[in-house]
Amino acid sequence: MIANSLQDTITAVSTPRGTGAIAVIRMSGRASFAIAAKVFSGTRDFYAIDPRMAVHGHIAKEGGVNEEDRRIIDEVILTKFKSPNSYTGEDVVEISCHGSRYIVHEILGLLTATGARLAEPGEFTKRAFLNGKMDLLQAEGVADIIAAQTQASLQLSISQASGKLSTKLRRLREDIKNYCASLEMELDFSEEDVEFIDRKELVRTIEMSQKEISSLIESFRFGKIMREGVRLVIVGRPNVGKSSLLNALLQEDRAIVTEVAGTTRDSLEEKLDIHGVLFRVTDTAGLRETEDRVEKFGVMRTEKLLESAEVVVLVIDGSEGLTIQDIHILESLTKADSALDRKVLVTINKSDLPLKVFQQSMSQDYQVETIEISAKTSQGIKGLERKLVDLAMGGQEAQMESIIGKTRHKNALEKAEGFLRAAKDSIVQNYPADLVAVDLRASLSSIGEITGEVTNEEILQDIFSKFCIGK
Amino acid sequence: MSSKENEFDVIVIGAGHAGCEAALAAARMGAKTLLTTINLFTIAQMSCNPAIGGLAKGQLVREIDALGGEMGLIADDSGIQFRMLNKSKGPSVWSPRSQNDRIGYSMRMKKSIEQQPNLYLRQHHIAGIIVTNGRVQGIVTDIGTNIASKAVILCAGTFLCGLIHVGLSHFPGGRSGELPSLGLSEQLQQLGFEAGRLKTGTPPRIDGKSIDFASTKLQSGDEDPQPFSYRHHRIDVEQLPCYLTNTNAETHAILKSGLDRSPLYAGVIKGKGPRYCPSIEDKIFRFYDKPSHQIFLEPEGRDSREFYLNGFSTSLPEDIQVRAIRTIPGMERAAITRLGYAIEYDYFPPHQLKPTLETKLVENLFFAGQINGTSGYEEAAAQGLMAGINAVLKIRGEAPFILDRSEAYIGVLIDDLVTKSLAEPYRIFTSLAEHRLLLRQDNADLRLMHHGYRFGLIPKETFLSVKKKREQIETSIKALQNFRPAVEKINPLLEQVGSTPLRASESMAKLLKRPEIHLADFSSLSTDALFQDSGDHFWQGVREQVEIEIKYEGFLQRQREQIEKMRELEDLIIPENLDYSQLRSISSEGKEKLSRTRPRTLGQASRILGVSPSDIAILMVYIHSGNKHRKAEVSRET
Repeated sequence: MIANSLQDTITAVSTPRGTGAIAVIRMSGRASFAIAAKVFSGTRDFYAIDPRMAVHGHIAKEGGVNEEDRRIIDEVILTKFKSPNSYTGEDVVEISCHGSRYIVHEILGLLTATGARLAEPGEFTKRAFLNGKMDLLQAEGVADIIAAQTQASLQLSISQASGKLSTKLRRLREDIKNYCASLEMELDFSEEDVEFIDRKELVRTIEMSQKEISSLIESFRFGKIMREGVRLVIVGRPNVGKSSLLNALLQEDRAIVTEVAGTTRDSLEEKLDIHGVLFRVTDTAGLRETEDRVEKFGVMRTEKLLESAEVVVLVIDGSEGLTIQDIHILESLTKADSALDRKVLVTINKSDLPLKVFQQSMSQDYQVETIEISAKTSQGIKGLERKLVDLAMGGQEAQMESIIGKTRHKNALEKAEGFLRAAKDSIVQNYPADLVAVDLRASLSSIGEITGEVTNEEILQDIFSKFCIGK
Repeated sequence: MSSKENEFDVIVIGAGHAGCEAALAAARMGAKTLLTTINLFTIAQMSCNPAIGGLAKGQLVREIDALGGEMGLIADDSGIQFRMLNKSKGPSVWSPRSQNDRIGYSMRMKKSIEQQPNLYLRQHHIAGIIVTNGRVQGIVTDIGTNIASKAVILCAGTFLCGLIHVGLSHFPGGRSGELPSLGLSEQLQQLGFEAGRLKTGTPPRIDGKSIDFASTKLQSGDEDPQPFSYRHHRIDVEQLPCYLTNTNAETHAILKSGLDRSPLYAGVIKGKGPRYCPSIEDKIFRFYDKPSHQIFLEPEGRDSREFYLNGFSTSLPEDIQVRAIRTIPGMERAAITRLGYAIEYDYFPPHQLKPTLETKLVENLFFAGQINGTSGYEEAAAQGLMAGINAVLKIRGEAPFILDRSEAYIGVLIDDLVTKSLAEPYRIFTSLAEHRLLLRQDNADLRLMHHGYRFGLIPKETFLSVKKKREQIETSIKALQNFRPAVEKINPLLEQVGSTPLRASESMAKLLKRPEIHLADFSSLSTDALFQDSGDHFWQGVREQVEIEIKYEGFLQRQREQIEKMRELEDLIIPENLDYSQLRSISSEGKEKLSRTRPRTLGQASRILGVSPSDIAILMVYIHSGNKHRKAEVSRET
C-alpha cells in the first residue's frame, strides 16, 4: 500500500452526516490558499482576505475560453486560517455552502480537480496532532478517531460497489494486471524463449480498458444524480391529483435556484431539493388512449419523457378505485421497467376520503412500490419524499460519507484512465517497454485504490503461471 | 595456539559468494577477520551456472562494485564471454552478464582473500556458535576449538543439512561432491530460530568431446564487451561462444517416463523450489503443450571441455538423464560428466533479521546469502557485503548502513527479505524495484560510490573521478540547454540520421529528446569533448548520463517525486522496543504482522502484507506521541 503524503493538500466535508441547512467543507495543506484563490470570487481578492474573517462570495467553475462559461456552483461564506493558527496547523480554508448533497459534491469535485485530494478518515485530526495542535489529547484518542472513521468508511468502500460494478472493477484490475505482467515479462525474462505482446494488440486492449473505465465513471448512478439531478415524471389519468401532488411537494421543499449545466429548460419542469437530492419533476398531460390530435401530441411527449425518467410516480385516485386505464398505464410502465432501469412508485391519492384501493394489495398484486397520500391535506407527503430519495439512490443510505466514497472511486478511475492514456502515447511514440511500464503500473495502482493493491508478487505470479520461464 | 590467534573482531562462516564479500569488506574496514570454510579449494564456487550478472542481477553486480565489493572485478578478470542483455529495451533494464571460467573465478577470489591484510583464512567445519546473554561470542569447530569474536556472519549457503537427490536416491551433501554442514542448524533452532526447507537444482555437465556443435546454434559475446567494474575501463580477452539447441517430443516422452522416479513428483522433496528456475521435468509437466524448450551449452571454463547444460536442471534418475539428453540435436552421443541433481537445505526465514542482516534474536550474529532463502551468486554477494559492513559498524558502535529501496537494488533485495514472507527462493527482478528507471546499471557509481568511499572500500582517486563525473554531467546538461545550433548547420546532420529538419533553431537539449538523436552524431557541431566519440572512458560515461537524463527527463522526474513523497514514511524510525500488542486501535491482523516483522521504519511497515493504511496512520501518531522519532541516519551526498 502507498500511504498518502502529508505534503498533499486535503479536503473533506467536516459537518456531520445527513443534510443540514449548511455544510462546511474544509481544505488543509500548503496548496489550499492557491486552490481556493482559483475557485473563489468574493467581495475581496482572496489573498487580501484577513485570516479568520468570514467573507461572502461564490464558488465557481472556471470557464473555458469564454468567461461566460464560468459557472457558479454556490453562494458561500469562506474563512481562511493561516498556518500555524488553524485546526491542523497548516494553511486551512473553510467553505460554508448550502447543505445540498449536490452542491457539496460539486464543490469537492472542483477542489480535487484543482489540486487537492480527498482526506483519508481522520486525516485532519492526524495532521493536527502531528503539527502539535492537540497536545492535550492522548495519542490513543487520535488513534481511536482514525480507527473509527476508517471503519465507517470501509463499509462504504468496495462493498458499496456491489454487483455488476464490482465485477467490472475486478475485471478491469485483471486486464491491467495482464498488460503489466506481459510487459514485465519482456523486461525481466527477455532471454527466455517466449513471445512478446504485439504493440498494436496492446494499444487495442488498452483502449478497451479506457472505454470500460469511461463507462464505469458514467455508470456511477449516484454521481450522475448528483450532477444532473433525478428525472422524476408524474403520470396518471386526468383528474387523479397530479398537479396537487406536485404543489404539495413544492410547498414542502424549496425549489433549487441554481442552474445545472445540460438541463433542458422545460417550462413544465420544476426543480426540487428533497433531503439534499435534486429532483427535476415533470407533470404530464393525462395519459390515455385518445383520438384527439392535440392530446395525442401531448401523449407522445409524455412517452419520450418516460424513457429518460429515473423515477416515475403513477398517481391513482384511491377514492374512485382502480380503473382499466390505471392498470394499462401501470402494466406499460412495469413492462418497460426492466430495460430502462427506472423505478416506479404507485401513489394512491386522496387518502383523506374513504379508499377503495389499498397499499398492501397493490404491492402484492402488481409487485410495485406503493404509498398512500393525500395531496390535499399533505398527509403522507413526508413518507413519499423519503421513498423518492430511497428509490433515486437505489436504496443506499444517502449520506455525506457515501458521496465521499463515490467521489474517491471516480477520482481513482479518472487517474487510472489518465495513466492508460499516457501509456498508450508512449507505445505509439515507440518508447521502450520500461517507460511504458511506468504508466501501466501507475494505472494499476490507481485501480488498486478501489479494489485493493496489486503487489509485485501478484504480477510475477501471473508471469510464472502463463509463461514457461527459467533456463 | 596462543589465545590471541583465536581472537577476532569478525568471523565469517562459509567462503561462498556471500562469505567472501563479507570477509573482504570487514577486513578492509580494519577489522581482524577470520574466514572459515569446509574446503579451501572451493572458495567462491559457482555451484550452478558458470555465469555472473544477467537481468537485474547485473545491476546488483554494478552496485556491489560501486560499494567496493569484489564480485565485479573478479567477474571481469575471469570472464570468457560478455553480453549486455536487453539492449533493445530502455536503459533501465540493460543488464550486463558474463560467462566465467569456473575455476578461474574461484582462484581469482582466493587470491584477493589471501592478499588481503587483516584477513585470515582457515579450513574448519563449524559445530556451533557461542552465545552468552543473547550475544554472540565466537564459534566452536567440530574438533572442539573455541574461536572468539565480537561478531559472526553466517554464510552457509545450501550446506545446512544439505540433502542431494538424484532420482529416488538421496544422500547428505552441501554441493555435488562436498560434505554438508551438520549440527549448526539444530543449534540455531535450539536457540529459538525458526527454520524452513528450500530446494534448488542444477543440470548435468557434458563432456565437450561428445557434443556435435555443428548441429547447434552459435551464441557469441558482444563485439564491444563492457566490464562490470567501474575500476576497469575495458575488456581485452578472447571470448568463447555458447551454443543453443532444443528439446523435442522424444525428449519429453523419455522425461515423462521417468516422472514416477522423480523425487519431486514422488513427494520425496519437501522443500519449495523456485518457479523462475524450474527443472526440465517441471517445465514439460506444467507446460505440456510447449513442443520444445531452449537449451544453452555454456563452457565451464577456458581450459575446460565440460559444458553446463543450461535449461535442463533435473533430479530425474541417471538412466533417464542420459537417454533424454541424447535425443537433443547435437547431443546424440553426449557423455555426462556430472549428473544433474536437486538439493534441499535449511534456511532461516529472513523476517528474523534486521535490515542490517543482524539477527533479532542474537546480537552481533549476522546471516547472509542463501541461508536467508535467496538464490543466485549476486544476491548472496550483495548480502555478504552489507553484512560485512554492518558487522564492523556495529562493533564500532556506529550508525548502521541501510540502503533505501529508492537508492539501490540491494535496498530492494534486503527490504523485501526482511519485510515479506518468502514463498520460494528469492531472486531479484527489475519489476520488484518501484524506482527502476533510476536504479540503472549505468549509474550505480553515481548512486553508491560515496558510501563505498566513506567505509574505506573505494580508493580516493576512484571516488574523486566519480565526483568529477557528476559535476561534468550537470555542467554539460546546462550547456546543452543553452546551445542552439544554427538551423543551416543542424539540418543536414538531422537528415543524415533520418530525423525531421528544423524550421527554427532549438536547443540541443530539446533535440536530444528525439529517440533517434545521439550526441556522437553531431561531432561536427562542437569541439567540446562531450560531442567527440574519442573512446575516452570518462567522457563516454558523461555522455551516456547526459543523454539518458535529457531523453527520459519527464519519467525520471516523476520517479524522483514519488520518492520524495515516500520519504516521510521511510525516514520515520519506529522505536525498536515498541510493544504492538499495547497499541489500541490497530487492527488485530496489523498487530500480528507488525509484531512478527518488527519493521524498522514506517515505510517498511507500510509494505507488510496485512498492515492497512489506517494502521500506518495510527502508528504514525503513536511514534510522534512517544517523541522518540528521529530521522533515519542515511547520509546522502549531493
